Amino acid sequence: MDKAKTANNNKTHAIDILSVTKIYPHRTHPVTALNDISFAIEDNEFFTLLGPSGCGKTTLLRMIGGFEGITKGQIQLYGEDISTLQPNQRPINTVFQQYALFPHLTVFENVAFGLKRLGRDRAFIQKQTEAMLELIRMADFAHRKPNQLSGGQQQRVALARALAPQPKVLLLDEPLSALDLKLRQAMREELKDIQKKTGITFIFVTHDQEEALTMSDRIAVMSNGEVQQIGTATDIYDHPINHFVATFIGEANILSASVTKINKNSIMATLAAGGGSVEVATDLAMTKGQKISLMIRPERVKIGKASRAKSALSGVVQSISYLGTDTQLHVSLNARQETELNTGQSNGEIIIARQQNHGDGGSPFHKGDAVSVTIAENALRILQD
Amino acid sequence: MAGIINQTSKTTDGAQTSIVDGKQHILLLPAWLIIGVLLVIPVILMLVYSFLTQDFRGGVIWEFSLEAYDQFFFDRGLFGDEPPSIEWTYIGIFWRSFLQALFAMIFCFLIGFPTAYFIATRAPQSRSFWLFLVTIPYWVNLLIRTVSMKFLIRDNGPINTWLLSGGIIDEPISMINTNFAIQIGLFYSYLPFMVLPIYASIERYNFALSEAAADLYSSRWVTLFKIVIPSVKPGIIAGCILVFIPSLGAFLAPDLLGGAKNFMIGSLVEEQFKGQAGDWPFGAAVSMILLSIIMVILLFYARAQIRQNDGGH
Ligand SMILES: Nc1ncnc2c1ncn2[C@@H]1O[C@H](COP(=O)(O)OP(=O)(O)O)[C@@H](O)[C@H]1O
Ligand SMILES: [Mg+2]
Repeated sequence: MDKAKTANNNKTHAIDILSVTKIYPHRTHPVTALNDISFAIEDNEFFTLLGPSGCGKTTLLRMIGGFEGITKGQIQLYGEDISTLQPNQRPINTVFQQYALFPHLTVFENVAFGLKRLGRDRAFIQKQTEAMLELIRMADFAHRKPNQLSGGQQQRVALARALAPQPKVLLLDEPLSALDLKLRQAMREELKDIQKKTGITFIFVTHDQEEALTMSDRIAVMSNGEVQQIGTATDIYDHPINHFVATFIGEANILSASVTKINKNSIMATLAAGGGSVEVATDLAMTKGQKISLMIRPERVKIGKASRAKSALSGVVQSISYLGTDTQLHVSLNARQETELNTGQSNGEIIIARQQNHGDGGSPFHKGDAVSVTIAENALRILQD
Repeated sequence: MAGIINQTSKTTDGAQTSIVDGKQHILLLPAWLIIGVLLVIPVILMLVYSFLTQDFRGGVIWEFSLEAYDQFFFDRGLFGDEPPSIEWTYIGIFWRSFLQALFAMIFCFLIGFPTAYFIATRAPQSRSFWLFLVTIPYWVNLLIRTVSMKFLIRDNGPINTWLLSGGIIDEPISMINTNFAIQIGLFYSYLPFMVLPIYASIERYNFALSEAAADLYSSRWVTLFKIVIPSVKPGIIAGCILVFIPSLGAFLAPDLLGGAKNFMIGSLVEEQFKGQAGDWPFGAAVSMILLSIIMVILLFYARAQIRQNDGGH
């Protein structure tokens, strides 16, 4: 977020969100939907706002579109303050969640609507509308009414309608959430493709992490009216900065540990469960004895035959689930080996591991097996909480 | 009223009715009875009367005659022996009534639409309060309301007295016995019939459409005319019909507020059935002609509705 603050005066950003706060007034229970957030969205970027329901994604999108007032702060479009402009004065268009197609107008008239209001000449409107219908492969449906279209088709018309006036920024509020799974996956590709073709900055809202990871150039993970982390899909998945991001995106094992040694670009830490000593790369300032949370993704936890090697943790398989591409194991970690109290007694902490299947009958392990647990090198991340 | 409003709402699930198929006819009996006794029989009665001969002591003689219709359309001179020419008196009354009803409908729309829009955009919990306010005058009988209106607008009534004492006017504005008075009466009588169906339509209107229009560079007025009004058109048409038709046949407001020279259809019919001087077949014929005109209007409405529902063209 420091990056965003220093970049405020950079005119090449498509959108700058500057210390924006939104409070919905209410006599007894005013709601703070956004709490002093700042960040920038680059020109020509597919930018995603990702977060659980109620975290303020729609509110932020509606403020950018001009449908919701700003309690405090400023929103800029290519360096110009647009905070006080009406929606019809902003060169920004929206694909609404429930599409909001005009029911009494045909597909063609819906798509041409914005161009007509902008007073473009007839020939241009005709040409541009046809090009948009071509782009979404709906040219054959130009004279249908919206209620004669399937959900996926309505979705595409809503997209064409918003793209036709060639906005500087396109806002999309969970546009795929009403579609079934197959269609949703196909539309992901199509949306991404259209964004590349048109070169328009997309701001895409979703609560679906898979959608966010597959489509976005960058993702802002939000919770409780605040931006938790901004980065590419790999940044966010591999280097989550805190507990919320780590657990919201994918699955995560969170292990508590304490710092035992401080090196130049890494630290040594002892895990509270299992007691193994691990090295973690970090450039954060740490002190010896500090309690920290470490995160590791299940696919980076290796399960092997029980061994007496000191470096490995040991545990007991509690459950095995077959997931098709992977098998997921829940392993309860044993108490520290050094104390020679290895009675197979679990200390309660569970670590989740995922092993890829190779079509040879699944995992070699069974419930109740004693196993060794190895953590891949460089797989641990320190979470700031 | 409910019927016209319901046309625009979603029909209920058809599967349910087949379950009760057997008992359904018994359950429908009260409805059929009411429609039969209160609607079909009176209309047939009027239709029959309109083809009978006038009894000069009031009532009818049971003898077939086209005299009533002939009297409406043709002038055969004082003794009925001249070659027929078109009789303009009654057509004139119909035309005046038509214009009165049309203006009442327009005024009701101009005031009723913003009112309905206002109510439908309040917080849900306060809407019923506003609707309640709209319906309050209906706790009082129409006759009493119309008489009160007469009292209000007469030359020495409160409105003129107030305007005079305020120095706004020098002499009373004569409102009573004018077309203006009839308009006030009709407007006041039928305004809720405009407000309620439009309110029902706007309440169902998806306001995201207005946001989408604003998003696509529409001003408020463009949004109103291009998106809101076309979307709630069924409610507007229902409201217009519900105001126009009773205004066309109204007799209380024209009678009490319009005076003798501003005769309308309702008063014409009423005259024919009043006292000894009435002409029952003629009154029935006028009613049947009015009914036919209304049927034609409704037929056009229904056809437009069907064409719209087909869509796609
Ligand atoms: N019009 C409103 N009035 C009051 N509170 C609102 C309004 N719209 C949203 N909120 C509240 O603001 C918060 C954020 O909502 P929203 O932006 O819709 O979240 P999201 O889109 O991420 O699900 C929620 O707590 C929600 O209840
Ligand atoms: Mg939302």
